[in-house]
Amino acid sequence: MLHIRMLSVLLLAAPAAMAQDNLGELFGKDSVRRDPVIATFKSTRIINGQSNETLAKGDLDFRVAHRFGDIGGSGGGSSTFFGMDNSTDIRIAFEYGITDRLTAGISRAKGSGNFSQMYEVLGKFKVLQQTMDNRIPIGVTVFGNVVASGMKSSPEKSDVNYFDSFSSRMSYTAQAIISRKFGDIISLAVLPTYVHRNRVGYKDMNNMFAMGVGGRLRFSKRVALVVDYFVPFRDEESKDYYESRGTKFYNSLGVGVEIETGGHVFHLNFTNSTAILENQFIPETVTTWTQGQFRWGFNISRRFSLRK
Amino acid sequence: MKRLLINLVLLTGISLTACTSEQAPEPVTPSNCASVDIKSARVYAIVQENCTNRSCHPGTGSPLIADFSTPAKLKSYISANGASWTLRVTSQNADMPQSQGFPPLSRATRDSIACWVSNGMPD
Repeated sequence: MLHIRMLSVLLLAAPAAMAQDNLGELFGKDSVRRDPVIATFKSTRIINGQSNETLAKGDLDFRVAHRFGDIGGSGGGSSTFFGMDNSTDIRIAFEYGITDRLTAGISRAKGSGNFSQMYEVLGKFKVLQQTMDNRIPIGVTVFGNVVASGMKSSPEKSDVNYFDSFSSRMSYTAQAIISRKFGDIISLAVLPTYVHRNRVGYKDMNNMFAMGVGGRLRFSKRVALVVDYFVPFRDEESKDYYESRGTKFYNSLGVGVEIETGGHVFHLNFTNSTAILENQFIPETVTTWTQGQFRWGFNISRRFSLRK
Repeated sequence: MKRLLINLVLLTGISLTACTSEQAPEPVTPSNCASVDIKSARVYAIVQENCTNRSCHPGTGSPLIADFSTPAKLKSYISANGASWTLRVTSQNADMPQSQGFPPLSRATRDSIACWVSNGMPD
């Protein structure tokens, strides 16, 4: 009788123990599966465009971006040391991770395009993060900025840089960064973008949509190829008007090498757009690769952890 | 943290209230450049004031390719690089002069220079 009781207890206990094992295994696997995909891009910018990355909570990112003059064409060549004697745009920024998902920042850029002396306030929020188990197959980050120009107003009312109020100096960008990392080597991003400029030139567009794509191809642990490309949707009437006046708009294409050296991320890049801020390089790029109007540039990012 | 987020939302709200949509009026350009009487001396004075007096385009050093050190060299440059001159100096999106303390050229000045070029750069 005792044997029968013991056998019954063992028979009942065995599946329970097995179930416990499975449960533990399940939790273990689950925690691995639900791990977020990290380092889709190594920096918060691909080249000109934003990446999906935000700063970790308490991190301060000091960023310097520089774009030199045309490498070729009438403004480049050996006399300007292939553009290095000139600078088309320079941006210095401080960005801070309020939480792991929310970054805010301020910057000052020289500006290139209709306006110069640009002051920017930006925010970036990671809405969705891709997970290892593909339960969330993509990452979604939203970015927005407000930019104001501090330049002197033109006296001519027909000039785009004639400011009759402070709001004329302002422009805005709203952008979604939809990204996916494929394995350890390739990362891609799609960047639907909306740019609003409060004041534009005659027949220019206050509201402009654009589509950007960007990617990163990793060569080694520290070096990767990065590319981004933006297509602004300018209407035909506007294009025709500007072409009749000798101005043609081009899409922005940037190609670069990303080098990570512990705490620093360097981007050595080439791009046809002269400006750095989205508010300018998306709607106002008038320089093209095919005429040598591309330039060397770099983005340097140095992060400091301010968290105690 | 909550206060910071509220401040951020407020800041965004305030900046969005400044959102307007204005377009510059059509530039008044001379319909017939033949009626515009502008000579090389006037244009060269504008170039000296806005393009050469701060170590830019001086004829030596950089950028040597755009040598505006004499009126003849200015004309020679424009003759050889007409499209680039139009794009960068007289078009709506002209990016010259590139800051460094130089104010942008007004529309009227750019139109006058365009007419001088169109009229054959008369002396």
